[in-house]
Amino acid sequence: MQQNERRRLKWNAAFDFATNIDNQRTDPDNGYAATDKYISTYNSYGVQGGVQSTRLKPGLVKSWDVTGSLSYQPAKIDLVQWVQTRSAYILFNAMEAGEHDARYVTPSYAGKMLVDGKPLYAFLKAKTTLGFRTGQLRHKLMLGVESNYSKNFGRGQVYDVDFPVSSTTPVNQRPRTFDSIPGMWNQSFFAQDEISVYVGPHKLTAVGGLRGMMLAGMDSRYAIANKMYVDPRLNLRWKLPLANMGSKQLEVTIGAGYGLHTKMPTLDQLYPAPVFRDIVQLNFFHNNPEFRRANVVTYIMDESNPNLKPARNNKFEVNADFEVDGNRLSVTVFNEDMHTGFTTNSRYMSLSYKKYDPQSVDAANLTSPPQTSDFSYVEKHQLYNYNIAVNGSRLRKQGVEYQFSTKRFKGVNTRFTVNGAWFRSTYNSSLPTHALIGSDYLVNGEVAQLVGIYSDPTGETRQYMNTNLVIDSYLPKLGVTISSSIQTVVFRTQQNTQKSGVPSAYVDAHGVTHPYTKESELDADLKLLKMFYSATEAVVDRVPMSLQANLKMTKEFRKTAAMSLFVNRLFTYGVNYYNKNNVYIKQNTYTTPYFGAEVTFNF
Amino acid sequence: MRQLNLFALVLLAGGLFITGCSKDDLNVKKSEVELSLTNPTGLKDVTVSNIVLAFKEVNSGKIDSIKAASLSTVNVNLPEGSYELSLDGDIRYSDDGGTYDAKVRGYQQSVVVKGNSVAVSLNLFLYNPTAQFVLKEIFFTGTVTPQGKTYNGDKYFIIYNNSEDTLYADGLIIAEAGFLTTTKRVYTPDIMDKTFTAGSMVMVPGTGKQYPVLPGKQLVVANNAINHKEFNPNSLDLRTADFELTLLPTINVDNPEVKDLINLSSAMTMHNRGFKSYVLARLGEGITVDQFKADYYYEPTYVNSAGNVSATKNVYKIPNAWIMDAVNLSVAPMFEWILTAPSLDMGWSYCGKVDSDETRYSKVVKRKVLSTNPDGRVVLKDTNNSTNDFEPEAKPSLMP
Repeated sequence: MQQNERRRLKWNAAFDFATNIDNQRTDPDNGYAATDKYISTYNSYGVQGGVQSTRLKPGLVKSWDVTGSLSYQPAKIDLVQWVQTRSAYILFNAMEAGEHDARYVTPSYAGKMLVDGKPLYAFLKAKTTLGFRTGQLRHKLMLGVESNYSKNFGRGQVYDVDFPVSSTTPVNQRPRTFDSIPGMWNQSFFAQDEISVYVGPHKLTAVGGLRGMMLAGMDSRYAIANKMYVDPRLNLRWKLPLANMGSKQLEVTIGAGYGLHTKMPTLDQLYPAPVFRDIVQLNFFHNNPEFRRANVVTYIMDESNPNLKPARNNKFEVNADFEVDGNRLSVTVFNEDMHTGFTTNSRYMSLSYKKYDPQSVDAANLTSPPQTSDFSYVEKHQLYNYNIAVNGSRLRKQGVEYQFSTKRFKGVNTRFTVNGAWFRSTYNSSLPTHALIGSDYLVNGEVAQLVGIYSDPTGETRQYMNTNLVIDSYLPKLGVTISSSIQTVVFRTQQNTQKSGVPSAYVDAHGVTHPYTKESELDADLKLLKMFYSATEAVVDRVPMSLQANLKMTKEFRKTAAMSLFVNRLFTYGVNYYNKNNVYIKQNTYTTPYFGAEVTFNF
Repeated sequence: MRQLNLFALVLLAGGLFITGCSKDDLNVKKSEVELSLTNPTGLKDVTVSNIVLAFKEVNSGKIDSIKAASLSTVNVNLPEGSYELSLDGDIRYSDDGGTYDAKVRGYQQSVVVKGNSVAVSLNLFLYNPTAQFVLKEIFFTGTVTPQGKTYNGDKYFIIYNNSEDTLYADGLIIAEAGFLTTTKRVYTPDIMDKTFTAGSMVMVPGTGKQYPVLPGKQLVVANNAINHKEFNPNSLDLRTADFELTLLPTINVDNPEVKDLINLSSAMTMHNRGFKSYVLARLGEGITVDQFKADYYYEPTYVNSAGNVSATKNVYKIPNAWIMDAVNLSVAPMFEWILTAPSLDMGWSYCGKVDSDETRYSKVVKRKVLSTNPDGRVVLKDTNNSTNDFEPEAKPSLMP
């Protein structure tokens, strides 16, 4: 720390290091001790530092500070697992799209895999606070910039595609290095002005701010690349003059606020792993291993959505705070509305493939291995149904939150706190959805031949009300704190949007859309596209009150150690009820209390 | 256990008879026949009743018929000659599971009747005019490799011709239940007493007479008809299976030398803990697969454990009249109900005494032998009660 009469300069720096090695030989339930191995190593390096300058004399610039941190956490899992095929089948190992001959899986082998993660996080923030007056108004202006960067330089799952460790690798994925996923660089600025003014005994404070953020350095094919999103916000606070209540004084503060909050999509939403769709074209498992032949066509699906935009949430709230003689009540009413929430939406695609006839060569009289071209085939199509991330949902939340806490009553040294809330959230999505006929359902002997298009809007409304009572007593002579709480869910409701389940249209294997008619409902295959929704789908389901009580006792030993004993679910109670389907639901069932103890040392 | 009932039946050529006959007959010599019956093998506490005997003289073609309530009341007195002897009757027998009534038959050629008395012994065999294909063996558990990993491409069914006629397998359907014997629900509509609810169904191809199965012969239907020993030394060789299933595309393998069964709605994945039931059926007269799928689709609804109304999709109803055999499977601590009308199967069999029993692998449910006919044909027990008809946790017959 440096200091002169005008300013004080503080700086700090820290370095963290952590390491962990977990060498677990084998999973006793599923493993095979002779080969299986699991070694996990984890290191963490971190540096952080900051400089802070505070002006001690009056002036425009009150303070400035710059802080930054960098952390790097290389982690590795080395694993060997005995892989046993459950029957003969074709190995999907293509890294490229297109038709190719394939082979059958190796019956059993020791599969090796390295999972290599090298995430790096960097953070830099610079901020300054200015103070000045304009007439009667006092300004406190904060300006800052912030930069966040995260990127994984690891190699991801590294394994031989001919010998995959099947328990950890889904059949529709191939190795993908973490390094190939672009880093995320979130660049933002903020500016905030806090204006306060005294009007007689009243104090009015207004805080207005702007926060801008962008994902920098992104591929320009993304709609959000390098685009700045600005969130405004405004908070007002009115502190009323103290009012006399007998010998006590009442302090009242009333506030209101509005803000827009931008939520950027995650890396998973922006850069989903490519999906490998392998369709078997020829499956000729001859009794003579030399004569076996298989052929597969591979499609690689990019399921990213370059048009994805940030989700933006509007929030408005009003609050009031009352305090008298150490007893305090605060109430907040809020209303949030997010139009562009993230959701997944289904899409489909028609894929063509050749269906070779294994019977088209004379298997019994072969003298040499057949070639794929020796087999006759027919051209076929099947549909692929997948989901992409979109901005398609609307989520509205309304609610009231309150907290009332008493002062600590003398003699019994006990404070009572009651808090609770009521929320209502409404979720809607009006995007049409696509659903593939049952994944293994056959139409004319082929799978994935029909997709239904459903226009029913999706939605639900939930309500929730809870209240908690906490009683805590402090016994200073014994150094004991006893805290008991009763948590009550007053009620919960859920109401879904009614859906017909009848498709508005369907898509055949060639990708051609047809209207779904009354005749379709009678067709042997098309009738399966009709989804079932209960007639009570849109009836409100209401769950009445349930509560549980918990108890905790803490004993302190000269401030250096503390021992706690606690019982969760000391008792529970729930009102039994009939649900919307007239089913009797027993909430009041016996649950075993959970006992625990903990010891804390302070050095 | 074999039991021999010997009845000597004597009827002398008496004057009463001679006076009633024409002149030509006066010179005909008659013989008394001492008939002894050998009961079908393997039966206990046997009584034979309502006997109809037919003696056909080979040269003249003349048939002498004798009816008797029981063998002790039968009188046989025949002209000398060379006869074919056949017997029809009712039989009652018992085992640990109860007492059963069935039909019995006996047949013998070249019975020479000559002299004063002739001893004729006749082997009886069980005869079931409604006998059909039955599920002889179901291997649903799969095997375990020497390294302790599960392996399941080697599951199979054995279908057996339990009748005395050549039957054709063309169009025969194996259907797996769409429900579980371990989850009892009130389904709406409830049609369990009239139909079987099928999930996946596989059908033998053919035009009607392409796949004959002789009496006492069987068909092996493999999941994958390959030599599984290549993949798991503890498994078996199914290259000689008669048919194979087409499994889900990602786990299927096709032996070009073994005919595939036709998947009717979806690929069959046999439940390896044995929570499902299987039936053998044929579509009703004149009903095509498409008609069946359109008209016999069933989408029952039920209230799930959370109290919500749900529906079971992709299941079909097979009328009981189309079903020739049914086998319920379950596991004792998990069992909640049978998935067939009791008239089809009122019991259930198992591999595994607890859920996910590690010892269940490499075991089958196998139909018990009821009797072996004189011609060597084995008659399997089919009392429509799998608890009694099947040997649970048996060794797979295809396993060396």
